Amino acid sequence: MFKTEPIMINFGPQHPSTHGVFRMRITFDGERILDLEPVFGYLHRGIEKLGESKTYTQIIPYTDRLDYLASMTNNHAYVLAVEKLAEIEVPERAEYLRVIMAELMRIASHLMTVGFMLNEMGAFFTPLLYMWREREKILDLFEMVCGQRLTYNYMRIGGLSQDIPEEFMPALERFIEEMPGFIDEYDQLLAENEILLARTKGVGILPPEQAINCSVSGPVLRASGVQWDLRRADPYSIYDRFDFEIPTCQNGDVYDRYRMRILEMRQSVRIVKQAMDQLPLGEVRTKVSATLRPPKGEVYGHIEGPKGELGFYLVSDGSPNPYRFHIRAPAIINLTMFRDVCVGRLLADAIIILGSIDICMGEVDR
Amino acid sequence: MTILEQFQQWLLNYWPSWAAYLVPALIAFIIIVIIVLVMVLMFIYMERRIIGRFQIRLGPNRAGPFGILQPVADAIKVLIKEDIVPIRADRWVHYWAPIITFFPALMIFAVIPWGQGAIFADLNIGILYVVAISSVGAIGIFMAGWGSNNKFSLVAGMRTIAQMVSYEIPLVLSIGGVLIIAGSLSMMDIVEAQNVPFFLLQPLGFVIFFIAAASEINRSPFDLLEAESEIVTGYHTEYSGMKFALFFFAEYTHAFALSTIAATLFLGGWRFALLPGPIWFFIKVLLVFIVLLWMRSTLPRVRVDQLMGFAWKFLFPLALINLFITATEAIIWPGFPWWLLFLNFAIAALLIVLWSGLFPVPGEGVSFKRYGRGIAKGMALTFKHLFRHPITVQYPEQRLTPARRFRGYQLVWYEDQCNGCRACARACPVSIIDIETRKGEEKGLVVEKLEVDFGRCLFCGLCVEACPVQALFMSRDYEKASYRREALVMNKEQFIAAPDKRSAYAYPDLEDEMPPQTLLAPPKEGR
Amino acid sequence: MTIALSGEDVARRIGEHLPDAVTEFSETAVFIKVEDVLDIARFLKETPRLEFDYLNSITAVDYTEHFEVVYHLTSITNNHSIVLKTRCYDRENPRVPSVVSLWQGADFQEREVYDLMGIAFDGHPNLKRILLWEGFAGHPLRKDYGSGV
Repeated sequence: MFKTEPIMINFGPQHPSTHGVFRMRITFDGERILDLEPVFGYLHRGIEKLGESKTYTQIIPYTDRLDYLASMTNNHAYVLAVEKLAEIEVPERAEYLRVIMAELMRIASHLMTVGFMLNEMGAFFTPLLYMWREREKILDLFEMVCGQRLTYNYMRIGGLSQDIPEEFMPALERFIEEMPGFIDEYDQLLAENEILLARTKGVGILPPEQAINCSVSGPVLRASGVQWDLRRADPYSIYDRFDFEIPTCQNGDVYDRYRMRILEMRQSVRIVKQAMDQLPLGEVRTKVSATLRPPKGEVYGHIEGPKGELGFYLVSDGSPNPYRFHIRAPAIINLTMFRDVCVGRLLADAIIILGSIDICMGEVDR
Repeated sequence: MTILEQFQQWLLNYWPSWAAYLVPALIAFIIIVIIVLVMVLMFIYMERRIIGRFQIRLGPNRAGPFGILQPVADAIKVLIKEDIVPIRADRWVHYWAPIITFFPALMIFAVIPWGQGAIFADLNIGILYVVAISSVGAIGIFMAGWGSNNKFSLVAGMRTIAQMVSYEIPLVLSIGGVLIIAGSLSMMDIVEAQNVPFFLLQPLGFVIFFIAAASEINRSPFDLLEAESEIVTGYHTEYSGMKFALFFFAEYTHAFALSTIAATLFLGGWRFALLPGPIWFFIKVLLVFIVLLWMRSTLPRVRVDQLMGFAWKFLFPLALINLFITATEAIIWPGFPWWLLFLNFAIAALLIVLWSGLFPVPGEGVSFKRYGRGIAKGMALTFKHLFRHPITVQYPEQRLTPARRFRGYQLVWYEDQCNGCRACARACPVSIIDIETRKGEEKGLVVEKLEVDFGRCLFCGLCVEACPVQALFMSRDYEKASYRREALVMNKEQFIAAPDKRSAYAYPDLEDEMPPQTLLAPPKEGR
Repeated sequence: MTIALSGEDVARRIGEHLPDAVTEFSETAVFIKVEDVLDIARFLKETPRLEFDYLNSITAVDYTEHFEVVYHLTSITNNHSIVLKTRCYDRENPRVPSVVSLWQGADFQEREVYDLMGIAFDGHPNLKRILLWEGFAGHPLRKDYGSGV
């Protein structure tokens, strides 16, 4: 009697809540999703090819622009990989400062993710602006240290580019003192909000076996119940000296991924406090030539970034430029499970699931 | 006798009957339209400023003193925009949709009592007229969704019909409770009957009415059909210019209308002590509107199936039970004594808590914890933020000082220090530094041409770090927009002539000379 | 601490299962023949005490005479990792079996290798360009692409 037809809507590259130039082609039956195809590449800048014509130091500003919301951890992953390849020692003070910067960056990135996830849910900027107030404080600290607020270019091969100024520690102390109180405020606003629970509980469930099979990493993997964090499983830098927990959640739905990020922020505050207490004096940079020639070989260096496992695969042929520079970006690999998790759900869920996976187009497209 | 009717009776002595009825009616109509439009403009302004305060920022404050002329500026902007109609849209439907959406909202004001006897038409079916008229607006929105020939608008239109039709029913049923107590459909009589305001006698009815009204006027948390983050403004995606203005006005007019109805039916209309009626009326309307704003700024949006579930499984049965209980009380205690309010509050609280236990959040069993406590906590936090100092600054009058090590626009170059070694050009990742040298009179090189293309600069600071003779510095400037792309390329003469605003990046000894950075959270004293 | 299994160790174990598959091994990596990729991957994933259930990354390198496809695998259950490599000597039309059926995480990464390097993966359900637009000519990450960068 009636003939129904599925419609195909293009959530085009320009859309208020697709985290940048990300396109989804969704086939709907009414509001129910039948098929979803992610299309990206609109921000492809050829960083991997560019890397082959730059020296190892000149690539560092390019790594800033991968996941531009968490530049410090990108820098950290890259210099760690090069130091592993060229076997360069890093001074103690530099290692502690790197950990402080990386964990502050993790807090800032998670604040941004949770804020925008709630913005997509329709909470009209209010939780976002509260979280951004804290992120502004972190960005002020970074500006004090390296002069920029978004693309830092702070870490160098062999340490950091310069030492912290005097006013950094008092400002950081104030921030770390106040942060747990603000995280409690976010919990008060959001954790038991019935509308949030109804929107996110049971939505986008990712079972742990599928998560491992899809090479998912980061908070998304841990929200599904898999206890795998590179800071514990394969400690890099000096993470084995700090006492912190790796929280996991049971269900693997959107609520758990949101909860993971709040819990991780608390753990990051713990790590920063310990690093601040243990910070030694000394140099922050091992002198390394600007045209560094690592020995022939290859390395795969990876860290636990805010979005997942960020890895750099470098092949060196003894010249100042890398022979192959590959970036293992967590955002694009976490998107592998996006289609399977969304099929069968409603339109509004797809947007929220995308927000909970936490992508950044600079990383997806490189 | 309303004031209008008295005026008309008096005019009958002087004018023929058709003029004596028509002219005052026209005058009253014009007055009401002016009041509505002015109030709507004020509501638009209030919304933006008050939501700004909830979000610890200032709202718009540039257009006129305190930004009062902002809605006027919006109106002018919207009027002078081009009216775009998509090529395959259904022209007739597309044209009439905003009109059909706007006018029913305006027509509601015919039966609102603004003060003692100040009502345009004292219909004896007052509230029934309101309910009937407000449901016509749904057709306008669906016409907009269909006529735009846009899949997003179509999805929005579908959602609208479902939402508006479903929430009409709890709305009407909650009004039923008020009608039983007041004993009449006329709006004047309902206000007269409120010796005790009806929200005390009908707490459950008030809550249901408020939520259903918020949904009828598409306010957050029920603003699915214009959910910007999902379907890009939904039904008014394809509208621009005056038609968009009509939709925008229609939304706020509808909000104003339902606030006035809530004030009339539940808060006692214009009745209270001391001050004249209309002032109390406006205060009550503003209160209702501010609570709507508060809800909008705190709560996320519900999903469409949860919306329908909420209407049919939660509000509708509760409204029915409320009606039943009110009718029972009307029979047992016909005068509705004031102490019934305690009984009604107890019944309302019990019903809400018990009924919410039937709707467990997925993953939990039946629990009586989810009756709105989480939402209340969230709203309390937002309310607390209303009184915090905003964290935004008024740029460009107030400028924050950047950090001492700021990597700002352009470089500062000292010609006498430079020895032409080109270390900076080799260090640059994007190869934007172009240097040509020649042999100088004494030993050494003299720089003849220095050209830096700041349109492609990354501001990474590697050139400054690479310079061995301290001739190159980053600067603390950050406001260097220009009208032409060529102006972004600086040559040697411009470098020499540029002001010396160097920053301490890579030069720790210079830090003491620089002014301190403005911090959002400066360290406490004595650290 | 994730133990990186040495190339020799893994080569020996693979050799017990499939004798001819391993061409050589280095300190960190094992080189296998192109045709045996899928069998060995399944062996590595399903054998107890190896159980490489997590695919960190798939990438490819262009050594001008041949291509090398590099797989980084980790076992979450046993906390060890290996590097698996295969050499593909065909420059015109390189083909490698796809491991999407074993690890779904290979989906986008194999498409990217196809897109930027030109190595086709047999058995991939949706092998089309992912980062560049569909009509793009050439494979940019190859060393002989364009007029020389």
